[in-house]
Amino acid sequence: MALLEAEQLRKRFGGVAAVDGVSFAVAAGERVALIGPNGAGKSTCFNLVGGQLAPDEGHVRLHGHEVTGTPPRGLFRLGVGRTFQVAAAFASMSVVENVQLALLSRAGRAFGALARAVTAFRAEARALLLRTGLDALADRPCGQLAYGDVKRLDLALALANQPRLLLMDEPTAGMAPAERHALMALVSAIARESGLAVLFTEHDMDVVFGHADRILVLDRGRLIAAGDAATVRADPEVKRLYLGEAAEGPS
Amino acid sequence: MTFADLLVQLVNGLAQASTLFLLASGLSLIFGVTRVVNFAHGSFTMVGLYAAIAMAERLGGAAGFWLALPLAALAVGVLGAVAEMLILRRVYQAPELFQLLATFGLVLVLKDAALWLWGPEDIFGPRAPGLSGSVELAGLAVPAWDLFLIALAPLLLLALEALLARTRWGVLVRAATEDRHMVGALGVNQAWLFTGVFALGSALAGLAGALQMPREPASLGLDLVTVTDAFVVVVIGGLGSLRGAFLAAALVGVVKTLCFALGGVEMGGTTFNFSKLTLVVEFLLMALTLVLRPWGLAGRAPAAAQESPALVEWVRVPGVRFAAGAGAALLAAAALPLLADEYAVVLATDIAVFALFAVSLHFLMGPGGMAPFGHAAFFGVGAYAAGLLAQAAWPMAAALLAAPLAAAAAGLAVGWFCVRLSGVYLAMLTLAFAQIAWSVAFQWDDVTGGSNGLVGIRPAPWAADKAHFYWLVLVFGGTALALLWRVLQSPFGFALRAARDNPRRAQALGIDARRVQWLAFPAAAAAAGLAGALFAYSKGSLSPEAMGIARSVDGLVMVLLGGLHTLAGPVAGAALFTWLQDEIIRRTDYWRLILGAVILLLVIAFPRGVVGGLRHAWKERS
Ligand SMILES: Nc1ncnc2c1ncn2[C@@H]1O[C@H](COP(=O)(O)OP(=O)(O)OP(=O)(O)O)[C@@H](O)[C@H]1O
Ligand SMILES: [Mg+2]
Repeated sequence: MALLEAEQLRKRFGGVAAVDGVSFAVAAGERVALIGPNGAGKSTCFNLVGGQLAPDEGHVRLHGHEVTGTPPRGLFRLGVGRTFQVAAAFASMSVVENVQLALLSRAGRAFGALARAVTAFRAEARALLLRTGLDALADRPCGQLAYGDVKRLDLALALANQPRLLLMDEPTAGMAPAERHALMALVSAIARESGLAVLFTEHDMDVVFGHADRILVLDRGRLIAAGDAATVRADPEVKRLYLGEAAEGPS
Repeated sequence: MTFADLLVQLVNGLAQASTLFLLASGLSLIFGVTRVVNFAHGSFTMVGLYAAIAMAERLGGAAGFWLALPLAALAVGVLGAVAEMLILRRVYQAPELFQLLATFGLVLVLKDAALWLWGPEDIFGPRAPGLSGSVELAGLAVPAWDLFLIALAPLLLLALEALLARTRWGVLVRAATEDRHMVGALGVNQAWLFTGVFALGSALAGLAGALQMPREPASLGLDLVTVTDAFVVVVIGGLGSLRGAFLAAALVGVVKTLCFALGGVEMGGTTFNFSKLTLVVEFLLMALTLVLRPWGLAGRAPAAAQESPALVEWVRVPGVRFAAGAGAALLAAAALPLLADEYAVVLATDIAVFALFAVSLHFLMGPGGMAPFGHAAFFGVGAYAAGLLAQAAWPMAAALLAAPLAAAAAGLAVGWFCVRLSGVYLAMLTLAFAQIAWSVAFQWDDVTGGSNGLVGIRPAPWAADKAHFYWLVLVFGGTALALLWRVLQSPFGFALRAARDNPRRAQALGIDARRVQWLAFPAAAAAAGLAGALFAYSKGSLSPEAMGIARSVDGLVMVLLGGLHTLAGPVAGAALFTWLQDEIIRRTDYWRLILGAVILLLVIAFPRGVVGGLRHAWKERS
């Protein structure tokens, strides 16, 4: 059974059908890329799956259980981690404190009012920062980070939940090409080791073709193609619509 | 009560409603375009009434009376334009709380200006020539001036709507109300549009004041009474909506007079006195509206969530050094009675009480990122709880423990509603709750002693000495401070900041942002309640003033003096404020003028607070 199933999702904003009958599934350990031009509905898909938005129609299932309309904090408990297209962590805290808070929340201790937070899960937080390449910045105020580092921190926060499903909305935007591949290699390694299911969007085609097991192509709210890199590359509609654009330079 | 009496009351209610509409329409227009909730609106009304009386006397005769009406409105309009250009213009981009505070600074300045110009005594105006009698209506004598007012409101609504629909200026005002950015895009001179709207709104307020000449004397207390009424009407009608204001004014005017007219009603064996509800009922209506329909009867949700600059700044979690410093400061403070006279000890007691109050407010404003404008409610609940328990012969120590619990219960209830709103709507809702608490204290004579308040709240014999009581305050207050600071360092404190910094991210990390903010309320309320209880015992008596709007504002000023981003800031702010207030009140009758000026200076020049601002400047330099 697939870990994540989306069935016939629909979401309208006024007159715009942002997501218009989209179905897909992601299996444990699988890395699926959702691509499409600007405004195709990728972030909206993520928000439907991640609980930030409730669909007008359709279903979201995790391990076969209906989770449509479950708020994000409920999905967090069910093992969903996500990053945001416009990443911003908690600016009033240091990098390591951000991760510590995520770990405290996972442990169900975010409401403790008398313990000291700075000493909690310090080692675990450092380990996560080491993995995501942020170790040197651990005590930096989060508001002073470069955007690429904020993106990495966003990922570290999502990983703090030891998620079964990871949703990443443009995880490598604002990074240099080498950093992009390093970050995706890390995610791929975790997916291999622990069976993490990954759904991500990306405008960088090298990243997509290099790190996705399967690719879904979205255009104006509809899926127009799906399959492995070769299939999608060969698809005439995709070529016309998307790769034609990309060939002129990545957006 | 006969049907005829009811009818007379109804006419009176509608006449009041008419005035309310005049007030509310101006306030609403100003909010619609500038997004500023103008606390000084009632002050413009007050000035309008004083000015109209003065002009009517100067000009003399019937013509003098009738000329004074438009002239007073015009004068207040000019005053409003000047205030907009000097002050409001500088706070349009500031967070809502700063805007409210800046306009409150204006309230204080205008009040003392009126005191200086017209003196502290109430001034009676002339009656309306030709309309001073009463009119026979269905066999009843109805004041002619009331009928004139009732006729005026719908005419004014039509005139304003025509102005907005027919003129180019009106179209711009409407466009700006619907979408601020659009006006900038049209290349309109936004600054003049804002000034114009402010002048018009103020002129309407001035006119509302001038029209009261035959109804009530000009008095210095008019400003706050008036503006809270206007708030209520505008919030119920929907901020920015004229028709909403019209409906809400009628509703509030009629409901208030009905309560008054009903008087005591026999209900299930006991007499329930509705006339005691006149003050509470309008705030209840307002709170109900904000909870059920936050945008009001006829308002619409703002097109885009208002973006106010984030107050988020990095906060280093205080460690051992901070604790050591705080401990040393506490010890130094404890030595005061050994070195200074009793006067200084009493002043220091006040400072300690208000430091606790300010820290509790800062808890919600700073780490909580909320904009509470009625924090005095919790102070007052604690104070009254302690006062009532003292009268019930509870030992002081027990009362000092129970009072924070009572305040925390209030915080739990108020907070549950408040966290559903944000920005200016949250500020208004907290204000409504504070005014409900104040009205209850003011009108429930049997229990709270009404406007006379409670007396004879004496500390236990072992704490009766001023120095002993001061030490007691230090112990209780110090413990509460330490607890609050501890909570800020706890996971809960981190979660609270996370919910402020980035609610969406917090939710995705499993943190229920709204719940975290909700629970911050009882924590802050308990501390404020303890401050109130200590205050009650230190003064020995209590009046509703303990939880008036002025108390809430004092707290805000203390926090802003100290700065939002430091833990010690509110303590420093409270000390500075309380000491300055004491020094200045001893020297002049114009304390409010100085406080108002300080507020304006703070908000415009030091938005980080004095301590925060100095620290920032220091960091920039080094
Ligand atoms: N909250 C919203 N309100 C109104 N319209 C929205 C909202 N969110 C998205 N849309 C619209 O829905 C459509 C899909 O937007 P979405 O953000 O999902 O696209 P995307 O594929 O993520 O684009 P990008 O590559 O630019 O991130 C767009 O037309 C967008 O304008
Ligand atoms: Mg997107």
